[in-house]
Amino acid sequence: MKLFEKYRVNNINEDELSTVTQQLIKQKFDRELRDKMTYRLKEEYGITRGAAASGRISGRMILRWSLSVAAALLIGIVAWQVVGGHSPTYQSLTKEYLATYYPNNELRKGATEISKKRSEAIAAYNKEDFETSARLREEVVVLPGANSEDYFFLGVSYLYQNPPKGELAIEPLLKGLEDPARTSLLEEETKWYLTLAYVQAGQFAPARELLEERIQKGGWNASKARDLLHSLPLE
Amino acid sequence: MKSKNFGLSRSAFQELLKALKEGDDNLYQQIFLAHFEDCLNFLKRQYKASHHDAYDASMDALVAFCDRLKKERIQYGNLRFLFTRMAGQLYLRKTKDDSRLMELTSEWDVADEPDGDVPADVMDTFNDAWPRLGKGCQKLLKSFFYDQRKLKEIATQLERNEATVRKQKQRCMSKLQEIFQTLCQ
Repeated sequence: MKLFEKYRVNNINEDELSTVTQQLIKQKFDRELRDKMTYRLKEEYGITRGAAASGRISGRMILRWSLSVAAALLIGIVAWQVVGGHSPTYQSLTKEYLATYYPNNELRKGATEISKKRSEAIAAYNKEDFETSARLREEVVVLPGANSEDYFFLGVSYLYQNPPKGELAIEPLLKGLEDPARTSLLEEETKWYLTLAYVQAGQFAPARELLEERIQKGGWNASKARDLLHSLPLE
Repeated sequence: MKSKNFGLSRSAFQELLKALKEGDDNLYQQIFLAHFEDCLNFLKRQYKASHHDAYDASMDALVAFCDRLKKERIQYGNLRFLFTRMAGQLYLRKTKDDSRLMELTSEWDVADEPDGDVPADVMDTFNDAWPRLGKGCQKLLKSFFYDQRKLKEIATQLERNEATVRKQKQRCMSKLQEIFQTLCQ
């Protein structure tokens, strides 16, 4: 059986899993690097695969850039006039950040009570029935074997309700971070949703602290964190 | 010495390696893309390569060179020579000009044999699975498998012990496989 087929049907040993994971990750990021470089070669050096290198940046390209800059400026001015130059509020930003639901990829397996309850909670969550999903997760987290992912999905299930229940989301999200071994696979996500829960609950000081941490780390959601931090009311 | 090394001093080269290990390839792109055209011209002149063959080989060399740098299998000294050699080997390998490839490999075997390509459908599913993995897992797996960082370094950065990070890496790989399998169903 080929290695990728083994990976697909979960008939793989530890070494093979490592080999396949490495190969898949390498190919994915090599592809991304290639795409970034192809783009930069074209935009910055005028070199494409199809046409011979023009050598230096052509006059046509400079004209195209100038036109793009002018168009961007014009759009910016018009947009500024339409929205009256107002910055987004923290309410509008949290609404925007909560508009896309975090995917639930937990596996539904096992016949124990916790597995069954968890399965029902996942099904409700994936149907976007967040009230049911929160109620079921409340039942899951008191059972032995509950883990940090259960607390995470309980917290986000409160946050995705309409209106979001920020105050109720705080406790489970904090519990999701209470892992002395720090083995949670969703630590960064838990912190992010905890931040949104604090903002929803009007608790800006702890939200500010988490946002600053997110900005300092950079990468995932750092620019969203910056926007949200700037929109928070001064205390 | 600098001209043999794409204008990089020894310390600038170390900075470049550090950035690559931390997952930042901007500086690498900035330095190497500035010399892409030289490499293209070298392949066209030396091997009478067509433009698009020379382009592909230079691009392959850029990706492979980056990988070798991260694995610390390239030392500061004559980066330009190694890079163009690698591009030459990759070009000859692609065009199956074995006689000329032998001339090159006997002296300087700089380009690894490429890994077998992952089937396109597997890669498509994997690309869907990856964003569904937690950010912490994404960072850990990329650092270890792509940026070639040692578990010990990752553990130090995360302020955890190495055994915990090793266990977490294992869980992350399993989680990723679970997501992949779910998407295959």
